[in-house]
Amino acid sequence: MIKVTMPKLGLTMKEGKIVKWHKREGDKVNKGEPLVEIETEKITSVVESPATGILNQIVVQDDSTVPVTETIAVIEEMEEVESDQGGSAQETAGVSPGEKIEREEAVAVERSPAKIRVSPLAQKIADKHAVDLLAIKGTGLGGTITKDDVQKLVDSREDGSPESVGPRILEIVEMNAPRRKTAEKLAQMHQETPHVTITMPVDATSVVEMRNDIKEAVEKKTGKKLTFTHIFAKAVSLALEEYREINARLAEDKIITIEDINLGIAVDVEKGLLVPVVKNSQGMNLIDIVVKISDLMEKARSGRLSLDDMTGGTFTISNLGVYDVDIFTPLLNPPECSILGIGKIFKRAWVVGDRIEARPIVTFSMTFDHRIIDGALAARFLQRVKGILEDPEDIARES
Amino acid sequence: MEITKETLLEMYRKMQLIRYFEARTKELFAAGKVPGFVHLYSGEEGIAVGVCSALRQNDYIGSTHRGHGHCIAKGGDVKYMMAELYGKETGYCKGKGGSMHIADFDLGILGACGIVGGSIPLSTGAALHFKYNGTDQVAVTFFGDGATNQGSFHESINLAAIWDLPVIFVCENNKYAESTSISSVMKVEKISERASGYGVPGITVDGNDVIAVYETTLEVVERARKGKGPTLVECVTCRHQGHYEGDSGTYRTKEMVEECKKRCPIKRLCTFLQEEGFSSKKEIEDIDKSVEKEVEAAIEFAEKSPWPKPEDALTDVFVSPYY
Amino acid sequence: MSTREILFLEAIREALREEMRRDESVFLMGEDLRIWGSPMGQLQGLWEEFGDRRVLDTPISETGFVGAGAGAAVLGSRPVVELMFIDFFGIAGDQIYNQAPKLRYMFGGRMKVPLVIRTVIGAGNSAAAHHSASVYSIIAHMPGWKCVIPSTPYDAKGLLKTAVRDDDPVMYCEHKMLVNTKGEVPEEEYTIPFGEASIKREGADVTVVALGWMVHKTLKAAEELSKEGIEIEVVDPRTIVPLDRETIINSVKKTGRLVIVDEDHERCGIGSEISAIVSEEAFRSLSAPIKRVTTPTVPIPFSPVLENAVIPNEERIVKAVREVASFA
Repeated sequence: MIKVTMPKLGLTMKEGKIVKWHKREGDKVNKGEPLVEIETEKITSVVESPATGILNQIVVQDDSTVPVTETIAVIEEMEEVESDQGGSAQETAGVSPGEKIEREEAVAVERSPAKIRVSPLAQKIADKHAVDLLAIKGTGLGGTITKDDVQKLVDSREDGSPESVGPRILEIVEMNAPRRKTAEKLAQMHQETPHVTITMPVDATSVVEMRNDIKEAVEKKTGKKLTFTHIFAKAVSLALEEYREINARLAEDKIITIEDINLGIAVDVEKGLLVPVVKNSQGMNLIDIVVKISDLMEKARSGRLSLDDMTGGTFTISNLGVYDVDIFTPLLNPPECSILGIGKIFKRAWVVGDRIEARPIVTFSMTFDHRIIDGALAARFLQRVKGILEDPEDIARES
Repeated sequence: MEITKETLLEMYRKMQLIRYFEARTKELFAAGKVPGFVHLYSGEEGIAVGVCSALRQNDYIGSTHRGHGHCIAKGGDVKYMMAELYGKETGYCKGKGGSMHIADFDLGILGACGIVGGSIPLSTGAALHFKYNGTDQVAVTFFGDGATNQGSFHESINLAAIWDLPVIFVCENNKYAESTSISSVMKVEKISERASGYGVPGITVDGNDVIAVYETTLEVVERARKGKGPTLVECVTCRHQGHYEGDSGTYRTKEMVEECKKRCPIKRLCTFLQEEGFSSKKEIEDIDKSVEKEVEAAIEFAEKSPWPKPEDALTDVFVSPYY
Repeated sequence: MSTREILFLEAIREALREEMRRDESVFLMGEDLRIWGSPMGQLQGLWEEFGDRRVLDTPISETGFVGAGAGAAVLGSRPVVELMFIDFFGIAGDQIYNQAPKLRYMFGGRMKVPLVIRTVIGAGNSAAAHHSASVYSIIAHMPGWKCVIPSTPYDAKGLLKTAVRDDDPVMYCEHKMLVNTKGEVPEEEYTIPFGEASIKREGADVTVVALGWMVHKTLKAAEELSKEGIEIEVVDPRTIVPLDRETIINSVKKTGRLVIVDEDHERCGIGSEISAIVSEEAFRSLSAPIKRVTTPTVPIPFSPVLENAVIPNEERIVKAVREVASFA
């Protein structure tokens, strides 16, 4: 018998309310299957079954609230069971049609073969060549794996031609829910948005000089290191104040121009890409921005960003300079309509007047949604950012 | 899901029995031995056999004007069938029904039906009977693509849906309602889409893949037995012959019919069984021979059987005497 | 035998209640049976007693539920299906004509179809052309249906119990003008066999065959005629399939004269059928031509004036009997 207890889902959680049991008493349940929905003051979460077996007893019924760690149900453990909700955990050949029917009630569904079946000859060949049948989609009657199906795989292995040999798999990891959501959102956006990327080299001589001039003072004042990202963010914020059309989003057939300038700053942390947002940067001087961005970066690295910290952006800056990237095509971060990619600042032979000089150059790559921003507008905006950076006195003075 | 060799060979035998029965019926019709209308099932065997192999003997099927295949698949004896086709007294219906009206309640055959869509409400009623009596039997109603334009289909599937009746709606989509292409009489791409209008799951399956039909039926029957209600299963197929014997078939090109024959469910299973090592050539040949023998014996039985007595035309209207 | 006076609709309810208590395989199916107890209240109280399982409310879907009734019947259930008005038979046309009554014959007598369809017939309250018909003749014309048209609570109960127990499809017709009439009904259980006419009044001068509501109109006409010295014999066949030919013919042999009062349309109606049977089988007994008093073959009109003009009434019955009685 396995006791299922009211889980502690957060630091402050003391009690939880049962919203809904996904299983009934007597139902079979697999480890990892959704078992019960629990609500705290903040969130509703689905708790997965800690074990495989039969849900013997539901101790706490729907709509009741109990303290954490209190027993809410009892599962009688068993080896592999066919879940009442559909396929067993071992199923690999797609979703069982039984389950499909459950979920897609009233929807015409194409049937996919329920389980793996293999013909006697195919089995023999598979045994001989140690073929993993789970990886083969049967083409025979009823989706049976035929000798041809197996032979094809074996042949491709043997001629070793790179086109036909499947790469060896190291591991397969299920995407977690947020990752999947992001993936879906990005793929959808990428397909649906006619986006364009333009690039522009910027002479960073003045920026570099300015940074050198003021970085100690800034650090003294704020305790934070002044980075180029801070300066670029300030420049972008200033330019956006002049180019309001860029600080916009598309909602169906309406173009919504946004008053607040909320700058998203892409940051790479261990778990992946995060984009914390500096809210209302239009009112901030460089010092404010340094403090704000540094705070957000710290929070991001230590996993303390709140949902609020990560939403509401109107324009994103992604700096890959630290990785030596020069030019790239950043992806829009919907619903924003533009994103600025910043490359590495490095010295190039630059024509100044009629002379060639070694100058620090940085290339800006700006991607925008062409439905609401025309190329010329985006170019003028970039020119403006460039202008601010090539003559950054205003920024410096402000600080 | 394991299918035993026995099941596979039995499915092959039944499909072959239908095919041979129909081939001989065609000849006998042409020879003037079989009177009336004859609608042949050749080419669609995968559906009747796939579906009926997933049923128990006490499950019931309702059939159509193209019903020989269903009857054989559910275990009907070709001897009594052939005698009925001849109109002989020894036939399943004592010569009163003929090709379009064959029933055998002992085998769960509710009867074929001359009206397109006519038997759908009856099979639904059989399911009502099962539910009313709390048995776990199921009813299957076979009908063609054309029947899904009939009100009886709509009314029955709705009734089955609201009452969760254990009935499987099996649509044999051979793409032609008599001579009329379904594309000109319905807007949906798949007939299974119609299920959504009734809150019922709809599934489309290759009707010429007997194993796929069998497995699909197993699943939806299981669902029905558990009281979870009906399913619409669309089996896509094609017929090798015309709508009935005597149909010139000009609405299909020769190429279309040839293409259709290439997808023959029997040939596919036969090749599959041998090439994949389920059975030997000899086993297949033995089945073919036994089937041939069975049908020939049925024809002999029909030939030798007596005609019904003319006065019998007045019996069987009522349980009580004729009024 | 002790009796009490109850309504026609109570007789129907009693018959069904008794049969449902007696036989688990009997169930009711139709539109609006639970809350309304069917539109005229015939079934009130049965849902409360027998519950959802045995009293099924259907969608408005006559093909579906009549067919389902037949399908359940062939497997051994005894459904009593309500077709709200006989005018609606066409909505379930294929099931009523091609399926239910033909199954047994088509399949060589290998099955029984113990299906009862209860339906409402008749004009009389301006229900107009879609809710007033008495087209039981069409049902009688189809092979395979038995057809019952009771005229009194006593007949209604006894015949309905027989219908439920019968192994063949039965169309049971309740006349809307009779549903709220009263009559003596025994306390004890009884059934009335099909095919036995009831002589509602004896008389020596003219045989009048009448059905349903027409029986009552004929009995009133009989009073009038009696004053003139004409004694009519009122024969109520009660079931038109099977039809009690013998009682009709014997009465005609006694009186030598026949009038048929039938609310169904005249053309090819049951009145024509009875007339043909008598001419074939009792020609020499007839002293006068047979006369029919029927509804002309028009849709039943709405306006009370028009409706009265087409439905047989006492005046027309009296007139017809006088003509037949005075034929020399």
